[in-house]
Amino acid sequence: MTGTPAPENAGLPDRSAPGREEPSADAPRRSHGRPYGESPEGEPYRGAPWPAPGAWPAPPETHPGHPSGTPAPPDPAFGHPVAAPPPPAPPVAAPAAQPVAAPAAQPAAAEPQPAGLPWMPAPRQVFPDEQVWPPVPRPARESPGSSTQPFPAVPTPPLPRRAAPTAGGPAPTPGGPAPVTAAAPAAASAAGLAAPPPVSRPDASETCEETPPAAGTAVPAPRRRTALRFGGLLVAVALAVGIPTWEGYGFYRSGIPALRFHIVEPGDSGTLMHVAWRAEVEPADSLPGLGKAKPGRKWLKITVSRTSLNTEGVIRRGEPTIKAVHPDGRSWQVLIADNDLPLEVKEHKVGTAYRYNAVSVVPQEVADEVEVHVVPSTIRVPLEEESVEQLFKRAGTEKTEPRDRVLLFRR
Amino acid sequence: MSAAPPMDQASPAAASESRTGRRRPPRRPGRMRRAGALLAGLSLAAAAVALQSTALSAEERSAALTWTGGLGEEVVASRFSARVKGVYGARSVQTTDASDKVEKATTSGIFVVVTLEATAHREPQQFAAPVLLTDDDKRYQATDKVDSSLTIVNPYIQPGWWTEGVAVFEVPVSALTGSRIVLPLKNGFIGETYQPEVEVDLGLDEAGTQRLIADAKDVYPLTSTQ
Repeated sequence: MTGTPAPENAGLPDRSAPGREEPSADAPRRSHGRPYGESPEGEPYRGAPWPAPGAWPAPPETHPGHPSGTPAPPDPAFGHPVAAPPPPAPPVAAPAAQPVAAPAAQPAAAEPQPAGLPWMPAPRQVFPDEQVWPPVPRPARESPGSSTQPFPAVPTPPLPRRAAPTAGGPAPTPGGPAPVTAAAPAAASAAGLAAPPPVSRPDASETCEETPPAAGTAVPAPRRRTALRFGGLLVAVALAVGIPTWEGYGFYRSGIPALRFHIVEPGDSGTLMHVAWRAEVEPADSLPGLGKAKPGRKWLKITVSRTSLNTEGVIRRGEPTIKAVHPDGRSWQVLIADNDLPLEVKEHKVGTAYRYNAVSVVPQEVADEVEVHVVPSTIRVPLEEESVEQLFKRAGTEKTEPRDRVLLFRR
Repeated sequence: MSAAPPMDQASPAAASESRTGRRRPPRRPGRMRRAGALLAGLSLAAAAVALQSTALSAEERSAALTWTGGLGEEVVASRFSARVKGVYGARSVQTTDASDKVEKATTSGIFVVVTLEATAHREPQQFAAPVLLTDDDKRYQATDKVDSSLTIVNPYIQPGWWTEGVAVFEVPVSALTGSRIVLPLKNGFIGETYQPEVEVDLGLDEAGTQRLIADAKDVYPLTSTQ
């Protein structure tokens, strides 16, 4: 087979027998080509022109012979627009090589079949058949890369990403290539048979890519991924917002615990942590030592008594926090004035009531509604004086209890 | 030569080359897209870096939420309301505490005495030391030359009534114009973020400053109110 896709070959002017069979040994190697300047028209070689759209001709897989010595009329199959040489890079090596080959003889009859020459004047356009695909084995002395004739692009099924924009998915799916590859041979042959121009120019790739054999398989995948992305986005945002919030709330609650209320009816006593608590509230217009309340306000004399039920109750003898709280949520400061707890632990008897005397000031209109909240201390003060060693020994063993249990004394 | 060449030979070859053939077409339009993507990526990275410069500092991030107002207005913050009643200048402040001990504080600048009142909305509050914020963003904390138990810092601000008090600042005369008073709340051991604070413009323009200096008392008496 003689149809070598060598560039020199492709661009040769044909003088005698375009597209004829491989000549005999007297013919010079085609690779040297012939000086273009010697063409009858005197057209110098100007390099391969860029192809016209849709111009690349379909290559035959076999190369029929042509009668030698008789100029063939222009092939109707290769009309003028069809005769463009291949697109990609204009051959650079060819012009340099041809002057070297200039002295070579030009046996017209020995010239192998040249392809179309678009830069030649119209009457000279003769388009013989030439096999370009599959590539014909090259002569041995032609070094790789010396050929400047590009091979025509092979039509293939479009990529799945062509279908993606219509489905909304921007990128090809990870699972997409696998099915396409599997179906590639069949799809390729099908596309090749279906498409009238089996050779597609890269410039026109967009139009060529729109043939949709693989689109049907590729469309559902991006849709699934869209949902997956939205789900991932939601999860990521939820985590990014939720984790710091949850952590911050935990930190906030470590300082301000959610309170647990133990409601005590009027006159009753409430028991919490081995201690029975009792509270009395007495509004007053004036208190000894504090004088008269300012207009619109009233003193509240609050007496809270505690009775240790056992030794553990004695251990929990830290001072409680007392608050005056209106049911509507407003609260007022309560200051503990004094208490009659014994200074010495030994005198602190189980079953004896000890009192805290506290004072508050509230608006006059709520003086009869304000309730007393007592938050017992969770500190465990040991019964005997500890040495430092004992203190350190005890330090890590006890779990610190949050001060979240509140006795609410109803009025 | 036929227009529709037979493909039975070309098809298997095309199929074997389908990988390279498939890859080639998207490459051409991808050049512009790649440049665009590169530009977009660069601009996004630049925007991310630029955003860092606008990030709040640690102080700003935990700063209080400020409610602003003017002299004589009731400024309602989230946990308390405050009203600045008057601004006075003084060359010295004489304090009389609960045990009738008299002290006198003097200054090379001027004492700014701000009388104000406040009430809480739900829970008792206490003010931290007030701050005088000048026009050029300098901060003057309430002076420690005056016993703080005689100022607004001491009493509990409770719901139901207005608690009156004063805030005393010692500032240079040049800092007076355009100054504001800031009333922050006392913060616990574990600092609470986003606490409310009230910022009140004292209304000291040029004329007001001159008037304040001219009317400055020699001695401003300060006594415990209860």
